[in-house]
Amino acid sequence: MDEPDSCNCTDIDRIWLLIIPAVGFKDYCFKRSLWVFHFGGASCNNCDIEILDCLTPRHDLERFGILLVGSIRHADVLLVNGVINRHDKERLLEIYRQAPRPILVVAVGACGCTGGMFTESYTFEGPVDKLIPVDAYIPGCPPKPEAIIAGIIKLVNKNGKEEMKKGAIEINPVIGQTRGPDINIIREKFGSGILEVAVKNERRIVISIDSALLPEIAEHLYRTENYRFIIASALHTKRGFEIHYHFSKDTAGLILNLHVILDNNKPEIESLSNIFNASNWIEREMHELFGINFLNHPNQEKLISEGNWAEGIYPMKKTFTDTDE
Amino acid sequence: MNLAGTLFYFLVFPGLLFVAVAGAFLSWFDRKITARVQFRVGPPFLQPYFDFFKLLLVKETILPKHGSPMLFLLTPVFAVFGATLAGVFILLPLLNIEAGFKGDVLVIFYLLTIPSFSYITGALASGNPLAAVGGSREMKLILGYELTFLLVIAGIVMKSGQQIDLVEIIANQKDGTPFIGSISGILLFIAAIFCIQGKLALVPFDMPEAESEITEGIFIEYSGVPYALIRLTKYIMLFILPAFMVALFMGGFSFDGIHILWSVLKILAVVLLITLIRNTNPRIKIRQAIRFFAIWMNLIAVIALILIAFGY
Repeated sequence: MDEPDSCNCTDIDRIWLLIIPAVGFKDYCFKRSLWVFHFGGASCNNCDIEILDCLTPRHDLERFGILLVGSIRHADVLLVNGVINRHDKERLLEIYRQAPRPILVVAVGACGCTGGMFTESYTFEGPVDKLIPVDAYIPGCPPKPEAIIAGIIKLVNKNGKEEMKKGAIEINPVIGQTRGPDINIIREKFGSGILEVAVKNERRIVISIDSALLPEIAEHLYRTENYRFIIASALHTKRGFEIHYHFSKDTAGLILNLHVILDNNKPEIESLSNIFNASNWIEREMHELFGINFLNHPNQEKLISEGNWAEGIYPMKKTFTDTDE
Repeated sequence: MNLAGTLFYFLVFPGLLFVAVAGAFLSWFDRKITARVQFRVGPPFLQPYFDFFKLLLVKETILPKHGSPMLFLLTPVFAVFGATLAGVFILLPLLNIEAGFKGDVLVIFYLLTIPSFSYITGALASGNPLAAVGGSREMKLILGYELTFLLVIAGIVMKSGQQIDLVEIIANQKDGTPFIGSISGILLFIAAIFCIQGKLALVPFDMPEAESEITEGIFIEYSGVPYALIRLTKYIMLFILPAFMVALFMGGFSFDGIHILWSVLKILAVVLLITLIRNTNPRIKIRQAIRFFAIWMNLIAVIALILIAFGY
């Protein structure tokens, strides 16, 4: 007669075990049901598309209870991507103010995390964390859907009981810590080739170098310092052909630019595509648009303008006169 | 009947607790089917409960600055009560617990509109212009589908030999064939399914809460506890409306042996139909929706009524 009674008791106990630790229960429900509100700043749309990719059949974030909602009042996560310019700033602050607490903020993409290549723009109002407290950074230009999912999972695991009470999680201040040693090592190693080091802010450095030393420094960054090559951008100014090679150290949230200036009349530089293949097509495109000759490049044939431009005419190459002064 | 029994009916079985749990299950079913239709994996089984408890326990409630905070907070409560009351009146006869009363079909018909009216009132009380747009759309949508729904119920009443209580309607079908087994029954069922689609505000009739267009419309200002109650109302409606359909068209439930399985499958089949309609259609404009109900669905219902009068 006793046996059924005791069985019932243990069953009831188990049910209570689920309910009693109320804080844990709340926390768990919150983690399992994150509704995302997507704030797109002045974005180039690539991050937006990657975010949408997360919700498509291939990745399906609804598995984890993550939904995209239309109203900030329903949101648990504010996902910010794109550059925050003067117009966006007011709106982002207003949206953040209207969000019901607890709200988590995730900065997506190079622009959201650091400002990316727009840091020096006169409309730039600072990376997201300058305006509102950010809980997770997902760097990349754009980050892959896998990276976004990994970031959100890390955010969910980080979000403990203590943080729930505060409403927002403090930012983890690892960013910018590794800045000093990096530059010093580069300075020691390539002393003569470094023309100028400009520290724009705590996570963005522009190093102007001698173009002859580019392959060595890039290889050092890539192989020894574990930097990742993001992209390169070129510009034709009166000083000559300027190329910015953007490198990122994702673990430190640091973006490092190698800046070279090539001669106006004979723009030539060693190709980086033998170190990492990521620069292959961007160099090919620069060759096509600017006429910069990349030495030892595997294939410099025209990529997009085939048949539209005559040989030797480069659309982005400018002709400067003295009156431009 | 004593007060404790009434409260038990209202709060536990077949009232609030039961319809909420069953509705949350159907909400998961709906989302899972949607995911499978789109070749996705879909949410876990307990997802509706996570959503509800997160909104109820964790999130902050924000009151509108311009508007009427009291009405804004009260209307979700009205919605839950109306939906639960309708659920009790539907389920008591349906589950063979109690017989109900004379004319309860009409009472259920009125109770089923309370959630929609509460949403409208809450939306207008929030003072948000997009919510006002959503509220006006919901109002027009009600004007569209209510006449059709009334015609459907009139058809059912005619079919069951002028009986206006649910228990008689169910008994009538148990003796003969279910009403869906005749031509007029099929026509009425088609009209009723679209009415339900409108009542649940699911695609193609989700224009009151079109999230990509007026950002959740009538629910735009709701957060925290009131929004949890709205979600709860949605779960409840997703259970009791298909249950009402089963009672009206498919001969109700029965609970001896294998028939329990059939009863559950009937509900799931209706929800599956609703889900498939919502996954294979785009959102239409409010003008198109009113036209759809006012002309085509009413036409179907009237044809069905004529067929019933001639005995089909």
